[in-house]
Parts: sequence; structure tokens; C-alpha cells
Amino acid sequence: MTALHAAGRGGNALALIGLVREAVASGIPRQVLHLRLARLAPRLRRGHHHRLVQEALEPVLRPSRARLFDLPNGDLVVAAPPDSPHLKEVKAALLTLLPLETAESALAVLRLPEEAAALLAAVEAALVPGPEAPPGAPEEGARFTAARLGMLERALGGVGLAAFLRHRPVCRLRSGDERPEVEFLDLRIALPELGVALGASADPATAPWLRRRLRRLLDRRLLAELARPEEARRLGPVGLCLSVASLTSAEFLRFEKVLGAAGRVQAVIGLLPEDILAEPEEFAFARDFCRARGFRLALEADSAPPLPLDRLGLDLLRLRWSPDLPRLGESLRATLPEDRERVVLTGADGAGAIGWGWEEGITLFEGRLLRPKGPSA
Amino acid sequence: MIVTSGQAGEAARRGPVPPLLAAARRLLAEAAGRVALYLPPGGPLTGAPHRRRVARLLLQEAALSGGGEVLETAAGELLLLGTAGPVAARTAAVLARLAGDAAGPDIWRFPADAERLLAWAGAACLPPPAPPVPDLTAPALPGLEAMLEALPLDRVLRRRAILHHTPGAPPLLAARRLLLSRSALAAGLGPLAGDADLLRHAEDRLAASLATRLPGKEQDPPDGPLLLPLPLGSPPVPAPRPGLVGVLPLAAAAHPAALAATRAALAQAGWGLALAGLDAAALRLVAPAGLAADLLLLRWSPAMAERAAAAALRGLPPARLVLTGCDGPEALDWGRSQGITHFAGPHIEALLAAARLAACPKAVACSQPQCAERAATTGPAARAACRNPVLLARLLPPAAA
Repeated sequence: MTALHAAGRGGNALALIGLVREAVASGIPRQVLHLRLARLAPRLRRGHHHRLVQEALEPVLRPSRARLFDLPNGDLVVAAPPDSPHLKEVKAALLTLLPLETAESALAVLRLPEEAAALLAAVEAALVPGPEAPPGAPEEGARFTAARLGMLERALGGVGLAAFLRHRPVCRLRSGDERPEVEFLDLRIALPELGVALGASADPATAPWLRRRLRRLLDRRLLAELARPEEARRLGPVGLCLSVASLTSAEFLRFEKVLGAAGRVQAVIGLLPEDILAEPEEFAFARDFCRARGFRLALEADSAPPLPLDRLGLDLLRLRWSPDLPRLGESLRATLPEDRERVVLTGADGAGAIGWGWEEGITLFEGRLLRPKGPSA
Repeated sequence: MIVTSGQAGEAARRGPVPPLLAAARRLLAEAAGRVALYLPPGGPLTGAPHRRRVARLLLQEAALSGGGEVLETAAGELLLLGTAGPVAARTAAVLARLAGDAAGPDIWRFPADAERLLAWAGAACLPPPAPPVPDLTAPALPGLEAMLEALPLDRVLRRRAILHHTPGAPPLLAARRLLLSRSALAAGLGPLAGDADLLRHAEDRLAASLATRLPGKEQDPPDGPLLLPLPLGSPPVPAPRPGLVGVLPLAAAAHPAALAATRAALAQAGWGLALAGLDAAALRLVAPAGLAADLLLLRWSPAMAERAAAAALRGLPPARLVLTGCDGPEALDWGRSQGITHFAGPHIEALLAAARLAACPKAVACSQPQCAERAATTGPAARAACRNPVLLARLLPPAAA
């Protein structure tokens, strides 16, 4: 397996998605063996089992035109020309390793391009899902009050933001690309985790104006941190999501000065539609200031954007992926900028999201698939 | 070479010549062929501290590349003095864009405008030392909810009339609107109201309980629609009376699907929905025809007279529009030119008060502002001064109908 990877013929989930797309586009048939190792009973999933499977596969695949892909959950996928004898050998090798009934339920054979959708769904299922809500999330229905905000703000005074800062690469990825190119790095504060860590017992979303104040406070903390010379030196192209009020704060003015003209043109600042609509005049002022300074501005939309980008005078649309997007069809398309290079699909964690993005001409993505492996940073 | 207010402050202690005048004279000596950018006080670039901060930064950058000094006065004026013409022109263009509807900075050319500069510098004062940056973590926050509990509602709740007015027909009272007076609420909250988000949170909390604390029938006869503020993001309560229309801020339109769901839930609970805050700046951003609301409350300002606002409103049925904040006949004139038939605001309150006074047999020493204030208030004590409470509650005398 290591040898296969070294030979450039193996790959990860992203490469497999690329292969599926290719097969669909070209119509060249392929046969795919999905080894659902993640489904095996825990006693068959220990390290040495995995190694045994790999060792069984290697001699079979080395001389062939088959390709091996490993998925984040430990599943393996072998793709080969149809009726390749190698797949039969792989199957046989596996049956010698595993109890018969287990091996059969752990194996799925799919044909491309006919069963592309099923394979993409399998890839998506293999992507380890992140936790829906952090453990100890606030109980539902508890109202976020000014008193609770006061406690949170006090607790925040003694906490470093670094542990709650998430770095998310935003990548250019075109259908057929070998690997994604990082365009800029999104810096986000994980508000729910921060709330839990600070013992918030209610969700700030239940009091929109208090949440706005909290966001402003966090913006300023973050900007002050980023404006420190050693931080600023390290900072490459960066994406931030800030409240409109923060764009005229003293902290922002210091940050933008430290960035310099060259840093500003590489930076993308996302704005929330509720901030824009709450104070349209302040938004227009902040927008014109930021644009005059060279920043690119983005609208953060969690579905079809409520406002057309050009009317807002913004550069990018950051569209949050949800499985509902494809269903919106033409009504969504009408609200997307014609130049799809101006759209970023965020939260594109699965193959389905990226596939949909490509169909819509979108090539900028942020999502779990594109993050470096390892603990979420 | 940039003079900060601190350095200029030291100059102030040194001599009897007003420090700005000294600086102006000194700079003037080298300013031939150079220019100044002057930002008047109270304008869109200097009126608020955060905007002045941005304008100052832009002037300081201009001084870095084009030379000159930035001066600031106690009145909030900003002056970039003695910079190169092309840099000044570029900076003026950026500032003019930021100023939006208002005029950009004045450009003074030297030596032609030397007298003007000296007159200005002789009269201007340096700003006081900058106040300390306010602490964002307010220890008083926990007290906000208790303050709201203790706040008598009638101190902050005001009544407005929405008048239906078409040319050639007598005016009709189309609806009443109860709203929270931001200035009265700020007075009740004290320093906490200095944070705009806390103030809006306070409004939301009061709005959440308003439907169950309405003034009685003797103040608002239940014979027509009544508009009430609604909190953002809270599920509706069943409407306690027919004809209620909930008013949400425009920010509610940020998530169209959620707004449509809110509208449906409100309808289910017996409410109509209005969106407020559609001012000239908002009409440049949103397409109002697509907003999921029964009523759209436009906010009058002279900037509405621009083409953009009229274009945004074209084709909307007049029955969905209310022009609020009408402060004079020009607001009504503009509204009528757009086919708008529903109006509200201080000018309407004054017209109604005048109509009531003209029709009231019991008015003796009542003034028009008095009558307007009594109709607007929801406090029984202030209303008790009126000897014709039935007419006061009707807002518009029947004779005018």
C-alpha cells in the first residue's frame, strides 16, 4: 500500500471523488471494490488486521492498473478496469483473512459510471462526521440574558482565544485537479465550544442583540491578537468574519495598518446579512472604507443569499452548504453571481457538496475534506 | 510629519497664541501650491467617533505620502493641512464616497485660501484629552433584566397614528402603532444604553411581553389594526386581540426562509407582519418586493428623494407601504409622488392634534404640542389632563372624516 501511494497511484477520499467524476465524464467503465473495514467487529479491526489486509492487497495490486484509496474511517477502495482478474484475487485474499460471513458483508462491488452516486454516498458516509454539538452544550430553551452575558464576558477576560481559534483552509479545487490549492486561511472563533468552556448555560442565539455584542467583543480580542507584530508577520492570506461595527474599531484600524497594503489585498472579510440589514448606512460606510483600503469583502449566507452581491457592492459570496441547496435549483441560481469564481462553498464536508459545487461552476471550497489530517485545528 | 492631539496639547501649554493658529501660520509659510482638506464638524465623516477615527486614518495616510499635518479640534473638525494636490484629490475622492449622500471634504488651496485658514485656526480649539476606552465587559450587565422588570411600561411606550391620505379624499385613521421610544428607554437604562446592542436587547425584552401588557380599550379602541414591536427570534404568542400587526426590524429579512416561516407562524397566531427600518440606505441594498411581510415601513429622510429609492419601490402596491418619520410636508409630497397613501411621523401627529383642537368643544388652554403629547403617551396620568378622553383616544375627530 505504501508502495502504491509512493507510485502515485493511490489516494484519499478526494482523489477517489476525482476518479468518480472522471469516470462519469468520460464514460470509461471501471469496477470498484469497497472494503468496509470500518464495519468489522472491533476484534477484527485492530492494527494487525488492517496490516494483514494491506499485506494481502499489495502483491495483488502492484503489477495491475488498479488504484487503492484509503478513506478517513479506515475503509479501503480499490478501483480497476472492469472484469479485472485482480479484483477477484483481492476478494479471495480477503476471504482467507476473515470469517466468510464477515468478509461478504464487508465487501461491496460497484460499477462505474452507473453506480457513481452510490459510491459517492459511500465516500460521504466514510468521512468521519464531526460532533453535532460540543458535549455539555447548553440546554435548549434556556434564554440567554444580559446577566449570563456579563458572566461570560468576565470569564472571557481570563481566557486565551488561541484554543478556540479554528484555521480552515479555503481551497481552489477544480474537477480533475490532483490536489486543492489553498487560497486563504479562514480564522474563526468556535463560539459554541467557547461558550461551553466558559460555562455558558444558554445559547446566545436566543438573544440576537446580546450575541451581537459578544461577537463585537470577540472581534476586538481577535484583532488585537492578530495585530501583534509576531502574529502579523506569520499571517498569510486570511479570511475573517467580523461584525460591521468592528470594521471601524480602533483594533481593526491597528490590524489593517499592521497588515499593510500587501496584506490587505490578500485578506477577505466576511459580513453577516443581519449586520448589514440592521444598519445599512453604517454598512455602506464600512464597506466603502474597507474597499478603499484594498480588502475583499464577502457576504456570509447560510442559504440562498437574501441580497444580491452586486447590489451590496461585495466581492465574494460565502455560501454555506446544506443538502437543501440542490433542491433550490433555479431560485438559488438566480441569486448567485454570474462569475462563479466569486462564490466560496463553505462547510463542504462531503463529496456531495463538492460535486454539487462543481455542477454549479463553483471551484472555491472550505470543508472537512480539504482540511489537513489530524485533530481539527 | 503628523501632529497628534497630544503633541499639540503640549504646544498649547507653551504660549498665548492659540495652538492651531500657530500651527496654521507655520504650515502656511511652506504651503504655497499645496492644499488642505477640511472636514466640517457633525458631518457624516466627523459626527460619530468611529467615523472620525476612520477619516483621521485616511488623512494621516495622505500626510505620509503627500506631506502635511492632521489637525483635530474640540468641535470634531479634521484638517489635513499642506499636502500635495494629487494626494489630496485622491483622498478627497475616497472621503466623498464614504460621506455617501452628503458632501465630501472641502479643498482649500494656498495661498488663495490663507485668510480662510487663519480665520478658522483662530477660532478653533484643540480637543480635550481622549476619554479612556470604555470597558467592554460591563460589570453592570447583570442588572439589565432587573431594570427592565422595574421600568414602568408607560414611560417608554408611545402611540403613533398611521394616516391614510389620498388626494381629493378626507384623511382616515388607517392604523395605530405602539412603539418603544428609544430615547426614553435610554434615559431609563442609564450608562448601559450607551451600547447600542444592549439598548436593542432591552427593546426586544420589553417587546416580548408587550402583547400581554397593552393599554386598555379606553386608550386604543379595538376598531382597527394595531402595530406592535416584536422581538427578533422569539416564537409568537397568540394575538390577544384582532387586527394585531407585529413589527420586526429589517435584520429579520437576513434569512428569507426563516422570515417566511416567522410570517406563517405569526399568521397562525393571529398576527400580521410588518418590517421596519427601510430607509434610503436600505433601499439601495434590498429589493423590497421580495420581502415576506404584509407591510413595509419606510423611513423618511431627504435622501429618499434619490432615484434609487423610487426605483426600489416601483411596482409595489401602495397598500403595503407606510412612510414613517414624516417630519414635514416635503415628506408627504415625496410619498404622494411615489403613490404612497399611508403616512406616520411627527408631522402627522401635529396635523391630527390640530384637527382635534379644531373639533374639540372642551379645549380651552390646550396647545397643539400638548394635545399631540397626550395622544402619544400611554401613561394614564398624562392623559388625565385631557378633558375629552374619547376624542383623544379616537386620534382623528369624526368631523374630519
